[in-house]
Amino acid sequence: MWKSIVKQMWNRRRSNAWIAIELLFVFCLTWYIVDYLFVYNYNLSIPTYRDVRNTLQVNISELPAEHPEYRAEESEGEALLQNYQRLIQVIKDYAGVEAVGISYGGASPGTGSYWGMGVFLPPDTTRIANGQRITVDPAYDFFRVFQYTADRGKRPVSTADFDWGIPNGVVTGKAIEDILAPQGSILGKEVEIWKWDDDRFVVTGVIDDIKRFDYDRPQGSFYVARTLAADNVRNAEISIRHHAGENTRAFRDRFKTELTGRLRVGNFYLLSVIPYTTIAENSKQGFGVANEIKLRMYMMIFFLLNILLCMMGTFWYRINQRPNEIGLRKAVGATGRSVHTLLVLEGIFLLLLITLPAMLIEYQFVHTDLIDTMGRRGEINTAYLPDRTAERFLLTNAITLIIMILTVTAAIWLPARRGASLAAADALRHE
Amino acid sequence: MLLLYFKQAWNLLRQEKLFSSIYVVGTGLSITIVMVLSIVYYIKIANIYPEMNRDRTLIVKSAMEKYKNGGTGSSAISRKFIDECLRPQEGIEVLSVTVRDWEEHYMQYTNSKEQTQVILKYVDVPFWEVFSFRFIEGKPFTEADFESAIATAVVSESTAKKLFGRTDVVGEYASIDFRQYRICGVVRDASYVTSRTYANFWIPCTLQPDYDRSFGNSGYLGSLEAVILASSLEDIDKIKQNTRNWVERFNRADEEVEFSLVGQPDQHWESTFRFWSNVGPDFKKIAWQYSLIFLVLLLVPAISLSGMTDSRMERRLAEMGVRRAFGAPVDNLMGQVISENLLFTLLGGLAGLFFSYILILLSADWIMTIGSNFVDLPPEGTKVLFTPGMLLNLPVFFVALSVCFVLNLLTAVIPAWRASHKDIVYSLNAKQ
Repeated sequence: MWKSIVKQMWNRRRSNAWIAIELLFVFCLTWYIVDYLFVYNYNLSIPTYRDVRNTLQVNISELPAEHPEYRAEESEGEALLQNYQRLIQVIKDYAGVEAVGISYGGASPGTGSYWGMGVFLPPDTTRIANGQRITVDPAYDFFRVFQYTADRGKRPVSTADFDWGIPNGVVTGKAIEDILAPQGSILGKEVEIWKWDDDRFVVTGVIDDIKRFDYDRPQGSFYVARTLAADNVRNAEISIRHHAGENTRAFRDRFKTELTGRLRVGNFYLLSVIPYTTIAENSKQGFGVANEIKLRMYMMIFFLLNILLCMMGTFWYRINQRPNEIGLRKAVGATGRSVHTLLVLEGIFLLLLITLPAMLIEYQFVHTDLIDTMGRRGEINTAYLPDRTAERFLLTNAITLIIMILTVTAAIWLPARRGASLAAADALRHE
Repeated sequence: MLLLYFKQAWNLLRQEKLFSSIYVVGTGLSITIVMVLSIVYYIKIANIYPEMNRDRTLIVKSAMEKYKNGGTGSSAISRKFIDECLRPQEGIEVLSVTVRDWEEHYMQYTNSKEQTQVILKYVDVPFWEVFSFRFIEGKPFTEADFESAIATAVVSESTAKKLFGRTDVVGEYASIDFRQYRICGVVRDASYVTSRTYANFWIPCTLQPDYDRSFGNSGYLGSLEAVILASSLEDIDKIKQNTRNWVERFNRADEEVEFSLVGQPDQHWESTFRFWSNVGPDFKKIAWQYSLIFLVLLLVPAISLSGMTDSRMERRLAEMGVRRAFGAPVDNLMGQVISENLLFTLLGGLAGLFFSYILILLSADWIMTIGSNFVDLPPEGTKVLFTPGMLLNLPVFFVALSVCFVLNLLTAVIPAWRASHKDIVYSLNAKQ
């Protein structure tokens, strides 16, 4: 059968050349998009050991000085702090709130802001572990709000599990320990901040790694303590977790309706309540990633539709031009199904023929480093599949090939059915 | 003659309905994508209400300082820089400053505890001259209001309706972040697609506490953006050159710090490609990228359409043979094939333009962010509206038509050449 297919292909080499060039182009372009989506989905599948579902950011603002209810003394020193603490207590006591956390400087999940820091175990300056510095108030439970864990998700942790009384205590992510002490532990050891005036921290705990965005790889992290004070309440961020039983939107509406009045403490008032899932989604849009994915999907559909139409049109003509051959096949015993299969195989054969050249072209792109790897920072890390170039290359090409086979089969399906349904006598009349 | 070819093509189209539809849809598809990109960039760049003078607008939104120790600092610009470098220049009709604001703002209603998130724009008095807002009621805040930082606001028509249920609200007070603003004017809504000017409320930038602060070694970094309306198109280059000269002079005189505008002032279209305060857009690279994208977007469908045209030509070889046997010159035959094909391409073009409008309207919430590294998200419930003028206009039709001609040449020339150069005897013998 293959011999007959090859012969047919050769006889139709002129129109096959057009299809082959088109297939070659579209194969390479589809692969480029498949590769991007593969890395994106791979990253999504890496666990992040915190959970933003059922969590909300509670934003508090202050009345302007011109407001009739504004009292200057309420915004000064201790009064300001006490008002803020009273307000947190109201939130904490509200029915359905499971935990309240306080963090500073936009360090909560999904916001996208990042304050980086590097540390080393003195005197060894050859290993430097970088990560995000997250400042939390240990009197509240930031870890429980976002369901942080230790031991690869096995043990949920709470801010109260760690000794924040030690001056300069720091809790780090596992990635930091893996870099500083690959075989051992850094618990209780002193680490020094890279290029920062001999500042030192004592590691009081190691917890699981987190991802900055869900499409990123896990990153190093440091958790340092700062207690609420009059001079930092305006930089503080309140995060809450509500009971899983209630829908977040419903909880938010209830929270806003019932607490807006009670949260008018001093000059403070409730500004907004935003689910962290929305914040993460907005960051994804803001950083252009959500649109990038949409755009690439649209592009892939566009390229595949081109192949679909090109092959459909060309095969339609082809079948119209060779009814005699089809009639003859049927006359000597071929069934409609076998004629159909033969025609589809012609298309797939053509596709297989261009796969290798397409891979050679793609390799040039890989070779010249034109392919980005989402989430990779600096060094190649072969623990992640996207960094094992050969495996990734073969896998993404296999996925592309499957997509192309499906498209080609769909494209030839309709014309092939028409060919297969030709009655032998009718078809032979063309002879 | 062309009419005759078109008639013939029309007959062909009716004879081979399915093939023709596949061809027309294929052409439409390729034109759709190119048209979507063209319309998006038309809306980003053309003169659109209220940004009616985009072609004469120059923008400076950031600056950078390099220090002797190798460190750098970058941010928006300061009033000091605007007063010393930009304002004294010739060729400027109006200069407006605005403050970049990242805060969330909410407006309060009188009879309800509900709050609605709104967009505030901190602007000055010349802002209303640079941008052509249509006032339905009242007028902009005055120079005196601006200088004394009086809480006054211009409100958009839809926001006024939402807040008061009517538009004759001059003199009323609106509460934003619990602060009362006296409304001095109501303007016709702008669409979110003109994001430089879009807002619910426009208020004097003197109300922003440290709007005229200066920092950095030069004192030229701050929190402002400058929008310059050049007196004429010829003045644009003059302003750009004078600004460059001024910065050079400053750097020669000051050895401590190297000040840079990173290639600004930008014309409006240039500024749509600028996202960072310390790195300017590389227009050569952008031009290459876009050419490559357009080429791929046209080439991929062109190859498939060429293949289809070629198949069709194979079927008409006998006809070609007869015409050539009777002495038809090759040029005539090629002209015929290309003209016939043009009808198919034009039909495809029409379909493509129609598809592109549908696609734009369906993806209104994100389509305008194509080509942007960072996206400013509108508050919940903000609708991105497209006016008929943005979609139906001469430049867009012209682009559509040009794309049709280019695509037609790409798809028809090779098949036409091959069909008309085939050996006559072979062609005559070619069977159906």
